[in-house]
Amino acid sequence: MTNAIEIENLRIDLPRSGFRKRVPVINDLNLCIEEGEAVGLVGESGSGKSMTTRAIMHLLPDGAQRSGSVRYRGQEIADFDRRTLALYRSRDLGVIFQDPRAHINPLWTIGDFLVEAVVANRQMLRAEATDRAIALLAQVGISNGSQRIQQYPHQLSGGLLQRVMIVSALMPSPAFILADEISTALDVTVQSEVMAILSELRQSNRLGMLFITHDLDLAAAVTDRLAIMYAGSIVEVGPSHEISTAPKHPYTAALMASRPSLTEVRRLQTVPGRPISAFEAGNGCVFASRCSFAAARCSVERPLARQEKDRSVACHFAADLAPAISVAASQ
Amino acid sequence: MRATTGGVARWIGGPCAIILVTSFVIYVALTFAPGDPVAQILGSRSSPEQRAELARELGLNLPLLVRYWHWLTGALTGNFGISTTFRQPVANILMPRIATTIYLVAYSALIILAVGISLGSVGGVSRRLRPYVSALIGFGIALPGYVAALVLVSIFAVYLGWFPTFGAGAGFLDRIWHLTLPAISLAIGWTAYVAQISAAAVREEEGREHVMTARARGLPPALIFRKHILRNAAAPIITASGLSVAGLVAGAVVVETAFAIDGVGSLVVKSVSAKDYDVVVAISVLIVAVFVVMNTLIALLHNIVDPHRKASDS
Repeated sequence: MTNAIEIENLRIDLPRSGFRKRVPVINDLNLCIEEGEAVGLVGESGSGKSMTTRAIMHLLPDGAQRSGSVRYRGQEIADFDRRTLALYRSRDLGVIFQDPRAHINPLWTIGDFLVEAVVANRQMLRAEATDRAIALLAQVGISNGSQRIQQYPHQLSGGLLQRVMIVSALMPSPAFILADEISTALDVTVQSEVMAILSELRQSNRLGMLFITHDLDLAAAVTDRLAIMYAGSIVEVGPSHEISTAPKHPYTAALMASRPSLTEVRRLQTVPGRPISAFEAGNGCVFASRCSFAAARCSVERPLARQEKDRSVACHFAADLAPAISVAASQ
Repeated sequence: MRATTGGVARWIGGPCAIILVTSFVIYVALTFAPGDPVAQILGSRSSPEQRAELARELGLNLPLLVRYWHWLTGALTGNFGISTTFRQPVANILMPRIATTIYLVAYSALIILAVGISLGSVGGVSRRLRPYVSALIGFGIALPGYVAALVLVSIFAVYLGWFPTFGAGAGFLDRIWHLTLPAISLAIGWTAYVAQISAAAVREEEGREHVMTARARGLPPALIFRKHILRNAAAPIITASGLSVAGLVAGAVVVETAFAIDGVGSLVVKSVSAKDYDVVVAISVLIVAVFVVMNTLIALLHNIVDPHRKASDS
């Protein structure tokens, strides 16, 4: 298997009000995604998930400073010229954003939104693109596509609009889908429907996907591998079913322990302390300030990711803690 | 069908009603304003009999409502009364001057829209040029029209000799040549205003999520700017532009006087000092009508650019 996306030692610094220098929001991030593979990126708000997607699109905010490397099929995207970058964004990537209501221009019809990118990039003629849009709308369960494309975004419900967004991402037949918190704005029944549609399309088109979410269970259900992110770094990576049943990093375990239980009524557990940003992390382990297993070494030395078969954990004590952590996670 | 009649009532009936009511207010207000046209015409050494005679001749002895009714029915047939200073029908005096003022206002409006919106767009999009654009806008807003007129005249007319200092010219090109400096001095303040509003609107729209979507889809920057930034920023820009064009008619008063242009603006100044009521009323109602028409136009354009309103209308 070859890698579609390789992120190596990525660091992103952003200007922040009240600080004289830029502060890091992503620090030493490493992640590979194979062709056709679905990877879930899970973490709390502010952990740098969305910034990671923006780094993959090469669409960082004004004033951002980037170091490290993001490669698509072996090519560094920072070296793309303007034309290549436009083609990479339009044909290779399909991006599904979190809030379709905000991410679709309200002044243009659904049809216009769906066809504009492939038409502007000369991938299809307008008529051809419209036919494809209607066909794809039917695939995501919108049967009256020819009427829908004449409507404006405010005339569609959130669930329908999210499907329109999915269709827009699929229009150019991309090789890779970036899905940024796509289920957050939807209610649970619509959410499962949308996820089912996406998984089906992904399998039939052999699409790779980076699935960004803070919902660990959802991510585990729809992806092949999970990457757990905290304060701008990835703390644990591994096959989804393994991570969601036997976490090795204390943060993953704490996340799992704080899920609401479906079977018993009890007080919701939380991870003690508050989530920190990458720039607050200091030299030690990013999770040290909230980790119940932290030792002196944790706050002075950043643990490197240790590879063990197909799993990798960034914790000094991963091996020793395994039994204790599995108990913590199942609590 | 019902929607169309409702639309006609809304888009034509409403504005007409506003013009009607304001014409009444203007008429009444002028009657109560200090000064007496009879005394103005006859001078201070006239006898009371002479005054009474002239007042009767001018119809000033009739009750106010009757006078207004006469004026209104006349105005609807194009008869706006007789100018007491020119001894001619108001329409005859107004018509040639309106043409001059329309040239001046249209010329200024063109400058305002072209320069204001482009300058605002640059200031809204380019982080690098933003401070310079802001400084320019601040300067434009702070500079009064008559000062701009003096500076422009002394540089471009007196020192460089490129443009004439007064008059409105005859024929299209001659008019353009004569009206360039007046149009610029009339436009400066409003251009800065439109640029300010455009810059703020463009900057706000530029940061919207859907613009990021457009970028993430690899759309060409020019298309993104036109279709997803400027188009979305259109509503406030249309409002600012429409109001500025309406305001030009009022602003023409100062500039026409400064450049000795025989237009509606300079006429109103003369007529007010001569207590030439019929002319003042006619011009005031005209200015109100321009404002009302511009406002209606703004609302109509808003309906066209905003699909929310389009959908709720049908």
